[in-house]
Amino acid sequence: MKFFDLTTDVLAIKCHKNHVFIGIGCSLYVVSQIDNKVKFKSSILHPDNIHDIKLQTDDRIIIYGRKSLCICQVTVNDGFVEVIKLDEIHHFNDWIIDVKCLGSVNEPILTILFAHNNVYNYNTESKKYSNTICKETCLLYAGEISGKHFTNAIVLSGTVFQEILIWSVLNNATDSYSPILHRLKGHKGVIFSVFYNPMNNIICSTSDDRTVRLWKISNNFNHNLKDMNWSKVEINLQTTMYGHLARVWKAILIKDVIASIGEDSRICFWNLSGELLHKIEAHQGATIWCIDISVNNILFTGGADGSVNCWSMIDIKSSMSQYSLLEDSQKEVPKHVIFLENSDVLVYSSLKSNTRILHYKKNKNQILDSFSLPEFSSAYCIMELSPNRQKFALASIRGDIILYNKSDQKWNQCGIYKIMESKIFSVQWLDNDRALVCSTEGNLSIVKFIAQRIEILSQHILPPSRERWVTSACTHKNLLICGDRMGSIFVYNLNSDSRDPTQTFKKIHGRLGVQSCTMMNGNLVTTGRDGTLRFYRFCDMKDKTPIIEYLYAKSMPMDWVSKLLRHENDYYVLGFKEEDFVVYSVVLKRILVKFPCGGGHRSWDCLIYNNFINFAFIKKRKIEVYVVPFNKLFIPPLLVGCHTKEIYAVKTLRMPANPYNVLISGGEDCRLVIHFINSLESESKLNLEIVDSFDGHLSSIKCLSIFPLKEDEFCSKYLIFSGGGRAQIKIWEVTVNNDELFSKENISCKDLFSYMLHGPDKERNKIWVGKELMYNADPETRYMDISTIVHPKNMHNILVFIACSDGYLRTFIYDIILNKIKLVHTLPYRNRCILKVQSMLHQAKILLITMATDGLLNFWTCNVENDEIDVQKIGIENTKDFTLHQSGINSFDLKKLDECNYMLATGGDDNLLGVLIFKAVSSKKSIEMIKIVSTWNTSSIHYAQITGVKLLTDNKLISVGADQKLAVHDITCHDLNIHAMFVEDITLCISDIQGITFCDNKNNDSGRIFCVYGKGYQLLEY
Amino acid sequence: MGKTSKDKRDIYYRRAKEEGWRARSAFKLLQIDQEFSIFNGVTKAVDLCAAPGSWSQVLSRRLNENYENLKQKSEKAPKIIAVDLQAMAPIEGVVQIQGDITNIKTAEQIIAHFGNEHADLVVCDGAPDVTGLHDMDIFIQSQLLLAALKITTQILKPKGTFIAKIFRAKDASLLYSQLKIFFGSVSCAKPRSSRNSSFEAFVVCKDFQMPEGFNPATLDLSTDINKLVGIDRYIAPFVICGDLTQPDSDTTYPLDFEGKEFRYCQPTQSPINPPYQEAMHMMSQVNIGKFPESTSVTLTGKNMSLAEFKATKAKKQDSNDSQK
Repeated sequence: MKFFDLTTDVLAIKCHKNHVFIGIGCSLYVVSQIDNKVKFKSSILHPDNIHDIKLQTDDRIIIYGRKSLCICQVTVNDGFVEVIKLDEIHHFNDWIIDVKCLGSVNEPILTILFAHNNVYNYNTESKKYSNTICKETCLLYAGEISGKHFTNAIVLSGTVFQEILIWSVLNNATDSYSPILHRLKGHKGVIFSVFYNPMNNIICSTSDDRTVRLWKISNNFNHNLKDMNWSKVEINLQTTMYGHLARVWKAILIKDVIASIGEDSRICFWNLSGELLHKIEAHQGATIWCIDISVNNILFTGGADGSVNCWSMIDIKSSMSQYSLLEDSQKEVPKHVIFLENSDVLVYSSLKSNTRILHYKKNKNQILDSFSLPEFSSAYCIMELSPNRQKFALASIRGDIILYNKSDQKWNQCGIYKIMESKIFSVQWLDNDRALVCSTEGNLSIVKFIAQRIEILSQHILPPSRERWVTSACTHKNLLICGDRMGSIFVYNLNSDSRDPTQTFKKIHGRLGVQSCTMMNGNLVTTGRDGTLRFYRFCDMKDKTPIIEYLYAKSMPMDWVSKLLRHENDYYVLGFKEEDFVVYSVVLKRILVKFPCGGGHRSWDCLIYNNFINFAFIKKRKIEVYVVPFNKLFIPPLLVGCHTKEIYAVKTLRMPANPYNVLISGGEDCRLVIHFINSLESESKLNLEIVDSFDGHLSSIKCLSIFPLKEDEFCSKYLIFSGGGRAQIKIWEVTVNNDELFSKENISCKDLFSYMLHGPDKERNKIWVGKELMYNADPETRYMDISTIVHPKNMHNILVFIACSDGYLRTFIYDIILNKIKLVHTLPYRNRCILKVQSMLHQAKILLITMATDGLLNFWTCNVENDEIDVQKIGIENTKDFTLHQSGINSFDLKKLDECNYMLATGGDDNLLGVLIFKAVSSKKSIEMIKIVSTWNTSSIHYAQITGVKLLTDNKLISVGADQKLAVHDITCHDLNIHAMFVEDITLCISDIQGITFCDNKNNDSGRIFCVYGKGYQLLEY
Repeated sequence: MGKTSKDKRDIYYRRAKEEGWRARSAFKLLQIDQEFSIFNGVTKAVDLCAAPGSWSQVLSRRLNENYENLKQKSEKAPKIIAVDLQAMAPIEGVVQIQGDITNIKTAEQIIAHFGNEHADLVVCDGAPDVTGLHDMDIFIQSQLLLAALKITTQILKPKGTFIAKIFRAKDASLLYSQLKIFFGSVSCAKPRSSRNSSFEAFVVCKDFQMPEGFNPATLDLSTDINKLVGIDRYIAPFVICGDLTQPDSDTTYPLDFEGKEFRYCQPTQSPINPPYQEAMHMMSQVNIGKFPESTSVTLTGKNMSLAEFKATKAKKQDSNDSQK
């Protein structure tokens, strides 16, 4: 058994010189800060998790977690890093809270604080120790050892009883009790961290009560605090800081800034007076466990999503420059503000009946140029900047457009054009010469500006609606794509004579409107005030105009998504969240910067130029401009994580034609993630990488089923059925192009369909009958498992069997061509939550197996006639109910032995691992009966629920469970009798294990690759 | 989330409210009794980490029922003691001790209440607030169990029964082995009212016997016990409690179930002051929760109660207004 890549909670980070030491599960990763590459990786503390890493000397680190500790030598040579254990792992009887190395060269002593509030001065060579016990014996979640030498160390322990106790380590003690010197009271919950900073004599603590507290140490007797006598000082609560939205795990002091991290996925920065400087949401909603800072002032955080993110400690506020324009002019009212390509600012303003354009030099309140505008443009005027930011158009209520461009540093009017006799609602630039003009009654014209005249290229009609105007537009491959104020997307064929749209995506962005249409890597992306990005692709139709196909949506951490901006190799999403303007990076998947501006209902512009983000907006009759150095915001993560919460299901796409494996996963965080394993690379580099993730599930994803659609020399296509909470099923289409070399562009995903059994929320939550609020009596059903099989009589239909938590087995028919799903059968089952369902063809007849929380094994057969389905129970010979387990059956695997015999392995909530052979007895018409041929089971291998089992082709049975154990058995059968032999077991590094999946290994020389998943995942080879 | 979604998700939550139990965990003890007959002949029982008190409610109801049934046999009236660090609403027939189970004085108080006699049954449903770090949570739960075991060795009579919550996960077998030193039989019980997917289970330990050479008063479970446990770890037999006629906690039931029309019930006991209550109140004072990203409160000096904070805030507001 070989361990490869793993992702789970990141609990420890330690920066040392140019390297960052990271503890993920039981593994130590060393990443270079210079090239962001992993230089060393080893499951060094196996089977215990690394909870913290400490520096002992310049080239020695102490790694510890749970009850184990090890000291390692670090060698750095020519960019290579090696970490070697100096000694065996030291095991203790109690949980290690803190370790300090307070000895000298000749004294190999570690001072270790344990969870029962006692300290060892432990000699790492002789393994002898002296033990000091605090007079108050209670349990600790946190604590710190402080001092210069182990003979006079001080302990600050944070107890479960909401107190911080300060006591001293006694020299040469043998189980002696040490009195409490100080008892700090104030926290209202368990203490999760405490540290003492001798530089400014502050104690900082964090707690379950969501606060960070600072305690001031004052010394009335002796001003020399360096050799402080702890028994004579006074300690008082100085500051209490509320700001986190959940438990605060830890805080660190960086010069005069405190950075605290918590369960709310936020980093809060405070000054020493306790004022909040800023707050960042740092790990996509996952808990942040650890934090450290490097010598070059980069802050690192590790989270429950398995990622390590980096943050510049240069305070954004201090590196941000800000200035105002039109500050003093009381009567001049700015209406529009835009940036030119060199970040100069252009303002459209009106003073009484005069309107004018002011051209300001960048970053300065200095007017370069100003000119008055024709009189008609005062009351109502639209101003739109061309994509190259060198021209702008003004449009009036009377149907005129004025175009200005810049030449020789001067603005020239190119012309005034009468477009139509009515109000112009909007002007959308399509490129630097063409624009789409929208007037009343949905009249759309594409206008080309040629020197002194205009040419109307084509005219179109926007379908009627309450607010009938275009808010965004773009053209691609002879198609015009427009988004309207009502949230719909319309597609027009520019080659056709028809003025009506050829395709409509009605209210796809909700009722608040579409904000932009942009091309991104050859795909169309639209944004809207529903907080999403929506992706579409262009399908080439032979000899015809292409059509647009909707792919999927991505939710953005903002309420209102305005624009997509490309800069170098990344795309930036601009939008508004609450009262802030935000810039989000698509590559980093996080908000880079926020500017308080009061919300989106105002004129604004944003430009990334010369490594600066420029943002200008109008507020209270003046222009505010913010400029932020861009490179300081953009620090890519050291390690990229995966799911932010538990993973419930992982499935592999079978594709023999490709040299890599593709995995699909889903879990508690409601996201569907596509990953790939590249096994062509050298073995040590075998790892899982994310291709993309997809939103759309309203509740957790509990199960997945994969249905291969087609496979040819160019590509493979699959349907993915994902189900979970709120009785929701989603269907996705994944296409993988065949290619020797892997690239993420080879994999694409399309969101085909979403279906909720009880309808969307709006329709079902509250039912009013007269004045009385009625409750919807329908249960909150969860889909526990899905199995799919092709319709035996119609190859374009798929039968979808779903095990439901309300005790029903539901059967749906999905029509591939029409993209429609229909519930065709509901089978009640004893009011027990059905956990597993499996469908297969047995001699051309459908055989179903279900397993529920009652531990019974049930077989069904199913007759299909078009849309009519009849599910019948198949009896088991000699028994009414066949009990396999005492309670829930969490996992199973099935293997066909011969024409009518099958081997079934099951793992239950009752620790029982079972294998049985059954025979399906069938007549010409139906499956008549199931005969249990032989059984075998054991309950002495796992001591917690078994959540995953796999039967391998070479007679091995692999099982995993909540006890973090993976066990291997040899299963052979002679004359259909089972013989089982235990082979080995190992401890896994991830907790809350939900299952195991087999990843087809392309490299046949070595073993097979597995993925065990739960709280994170672990790849292993057997 | 709707008002009824918890009712829909969990039948036992709904039933607990309907039947007046303070928490759904009452059903777990009732189902353990169905399988193990833990209340037979019990007249003195202790509920450790009792708050909010649903297990004490079960003890009170069941022991008094037993007593009523056996009245002629001149049995003694049952005595029930509930111990918790927090105060809880009184329960008829249950004596409450507000104290720490790791404190020797608590054990002395219990024995004094029983008239210098030991208990027949000790139960403990205590669990920490889970942090999400599995190994940490499992460790804290195991320490809670060992603390409960330690006080149990001081207050339980020989042949007595001990029941406590355990997390079935990594290292559970070590705990089973440790318990096996003190009890003739140790089983791992999973009531049907405990969710299939959860780590939670209960150890049912019967036939208590103090091993020779052990003094309950000086027993240090964190160290001594390791010396007794051999390499062969004990795996307690798994027993599911409650038959299939009882509802399944994983199943989602319609609100109108078994012919009964649903009526919404208020929870019997609202949650006890959570640690974050003050933080929530403080934050809501400066912000109506609209923009959590920029909200913070800083207090200087000694602890300030919410009332004091409100008062100083009102004062500041007044002085600001008067300046205007």
